[in-house]
Order: sequence, then structure tokens, then C-alpha cells
Amino acid sequence: MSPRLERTASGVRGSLTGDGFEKLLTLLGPDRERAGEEYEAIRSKLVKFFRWRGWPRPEDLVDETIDRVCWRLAEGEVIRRPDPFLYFHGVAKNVLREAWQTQEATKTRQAPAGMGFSRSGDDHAPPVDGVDEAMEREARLSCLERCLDHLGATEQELIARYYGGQGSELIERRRRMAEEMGIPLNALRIRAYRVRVRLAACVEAALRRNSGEYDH
Amino acid sequence: MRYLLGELTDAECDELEEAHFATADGFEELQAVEQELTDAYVAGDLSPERRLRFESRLVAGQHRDVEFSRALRAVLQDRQSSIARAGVRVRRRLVPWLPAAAAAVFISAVGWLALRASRPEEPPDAGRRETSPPVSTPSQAAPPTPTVPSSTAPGRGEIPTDRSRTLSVTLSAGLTRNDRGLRRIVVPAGADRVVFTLVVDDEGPTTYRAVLQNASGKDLLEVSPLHERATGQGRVVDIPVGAQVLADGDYVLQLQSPGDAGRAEDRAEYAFRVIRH
Repeated sequence: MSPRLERTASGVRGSLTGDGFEKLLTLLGPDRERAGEEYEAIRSKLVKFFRWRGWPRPEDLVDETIDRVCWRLAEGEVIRRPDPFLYFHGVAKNVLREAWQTQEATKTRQAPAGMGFSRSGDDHAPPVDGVDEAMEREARLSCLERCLDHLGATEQELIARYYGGQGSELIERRRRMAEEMGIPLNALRIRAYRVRVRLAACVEAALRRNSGEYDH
Repeated sequence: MRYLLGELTDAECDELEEAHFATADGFEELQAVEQELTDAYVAGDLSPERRLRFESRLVAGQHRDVEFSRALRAVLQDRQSSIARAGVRVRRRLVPWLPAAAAAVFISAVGWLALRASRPEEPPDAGRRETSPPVSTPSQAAPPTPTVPSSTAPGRGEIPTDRSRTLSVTLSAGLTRNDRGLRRIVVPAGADRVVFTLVVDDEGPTTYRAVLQNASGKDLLEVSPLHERATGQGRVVDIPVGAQVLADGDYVLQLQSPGDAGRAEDRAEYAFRVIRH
């Protein structure tokens, strides 16, 4: 079970007399491990949902959403939808609506903390020294090159063709690629995205490994 | 993209989510579009209004996505232009610069020695780091004189004043850094000056002139006279360049030395790519 799930389990148990979260885990998987993975997936999707809807602090509302679902389960509600996330999504929309209303009422909506990493005072992207920043970027570039080299030739070409270029030329190139490959553009988009996700994970892992000792 | 930029009504958002959240592929596609939106932002393809909207909706953790997108763009551009780059041939020419340089050697020598004498001792890894903490330029010293060709704007190539933010870069001769492409130099927005330390491979003269050229072979800056100095890496020559001269793009630093009949001979070329941030 993931550390986060353990923390959540203990926290939610305390507030919901334990029952709701246990029911949630039972719902999500046949064992704790699978349930933990599914829980993380739902949590990650909820973060995206709140982010896409423009809420500046998604994690707060994710916790609130999960709490509410657990409460409902503890009170005997049964989730009938085949994909549990859709149930969470329904609850999340209510949580978000209430959050906007509360914010509107307290007149703080105009300056929600944490919006925009480029703003001063932002706590998740503190200003860094220009030279350090340049070194970090150079390290990222080098890691990315190495990770790209580790991809297969087909995947390298996919990344280069799909993400290389910009503007209208890029759109046309993607359309042609989809035609050549005989797949819909959406399928091509997802295919490229999956490789990109692996690439990004490879870079982050390499940066973590090299942190503090990376030498160019 | 309109959904991700908050341009849809609540009802439209609900409809889109119903359609996309119900399947794994649908959700993944939204994530893929989100990455492409980030790419468009990094590439400058968004309208000013959408750019602001994008920035206002960034939350914790997303700066990493922006940085990745920026890196991917740089690396792909690098690779795509590698063939074209291989075709770029830097002009090799002989320039009758020696008489003027010889006259300036004596004048500048005193200042240059003063500069070297007052320079703090280099850390052991100085030659291996691409960037360095800001250093001050001794104002009393007279560094080698950068000369801007008449076609360029006045003031370009000036040596920054004290307390300037200096980026130190060590370059080895050659058109490519390795098989992955040109040596990249990320110049932060706050940098005032870049000091290129060129490693001199062959035995030969000890006085040089450097010419900075862009990818088209246009001279941007001339710095002379230059004197080599000995370091743990061997013999090197320092070239100070005002950061404002270096926009995004590919460059070549040509190191020349006095040749026969007062003509300059190309000794080595140092190619690099500048990425401004």
C-alpha cells in the first residue's frame, strides 16, 4: 500500500469511524495493493479535473471530494457506476461549485493564492538564481537527450515528427502522419503522448539521480 | 483547448467531461492536449489573451511540464537542424589585422596583466562548469578590446561594469560538442556577460584574435589582442562577450593568430548554440 494511502487511511478512519474508507478500498480492488493503485489513479484524475476547471489549489478539493465519498459510503450509499471515478467526478463537481461560491462570497476570488507559477510570491516555483536556473535547464536538456537516445528508433521518430515544429505547419504534419500510419489523429495523439510521458518520467528520474552531482 | 483554457461554459464543460472521463482513452487524450497546449505556450503560438489565460491557470507542479516542454523543443530543434548545421561552413579567411593588433598589444598588455593578477584563483573544477556564480570585473583592468563591426548597433560587445553577472563557459575546438549536437549554452536573462574560455589544442602562438560569427557567417564581434594563459586544462584564451550580443541561435568563435606577411591564420573554431532564458 502506498505511503499516501496509508496516511489517508489513518486520517479518514479517524474522521469517518473507519467504515467509509474501508468500503472505498473494497470497492476499488480485490486487495489492498490493487485498491491502492486505483485510489492513486482516481486521486490523480481529480487533481487534473480541478486544475482543468481552473481551481488554483486542486489538492484541497481532492481531499474534500474523497472525504465526502467516504462519508457517503459510510452512510450506506452504494456506488453503482461501473467506473468509480465517474462517481467521484459527480461529487467533485459539487465540491467545486461550492468552493467557487464560498470564494465569491468571501471576495477572495480575484486573487487566489498559488495561481500562476510566474507570479511573485508563488510558493511552488520560488525565484531561483539565474545561473542556477541555467544549470538546471542544461541538466534537463542533457538528461532528455540521453532519454531520447534510449527510445527505440520508431519512438524517436514519432516524438521528433509529432512534437517537432510549431504552428500551422505542425498541425498539417500531424495530419499527414496520421494518414500515413492509417490511424485517427486522436489515436496518434495518444500514442505520442504515451511516449512523451515515459520520456518525462525518464528525465525526472535522471535528474533526481544526478541531483547535486551532475557534471557537464 | 478551449476547455483547458477555461473558455467553455459550465454546461459545455460538463458535456465534454461526460464524453472524455468515461473512457481511459478520453481522459488520456485530454492530458495529451494539455501537453500540446503547453507546447504552444512555450513556442509562442498562443494569442496574447490565451497566453495570459494559460499563465493564470498554472498551478503547483505545472512549471515542471513547462520546463519539459521547453527542453523537448530545444532538443528537437537541435536534432532537426543537425544536417543543416553540418552544411554550414564557416568562412575561413585571411585578414590583415596584425599591424593594428601589434600596436595594441603593448597598450593592452599592462592592463591584461593587471586583470590576470587581480583575478581570484580559479576553483579546481572551473573548467568543467558551464556556469559560474557572478564575478566582478576589475574596473581598473583593461581586458582585450572587443570591436564591433560597423554594421552592428553601437554599444554591442561592451564589457560590463563591476558587479555584472558573468557566465563562464569553457569550449573545446570543433564544430560539435559530441554526437548529440552543438554545445548548448543557456544564457539566463540576468546575465550581463559571457566569458568564453577557449581551450587551445596545438602548440603555436601565444597572441590571438577572436571573431564571433553567427550561423550565416556574419561577423558580430572582434576581440583582440588575446593572450593565452596556462590552467590545469592546458593553455586557454578568455573571450569576454556582452550577453546582449548573444541572441538565440548558433555561433562560431574563430580563433586566429598572426601568420605570414601580416595576415591572420585561423587556428581553431568553437561552435555553440545559445539558448536565452
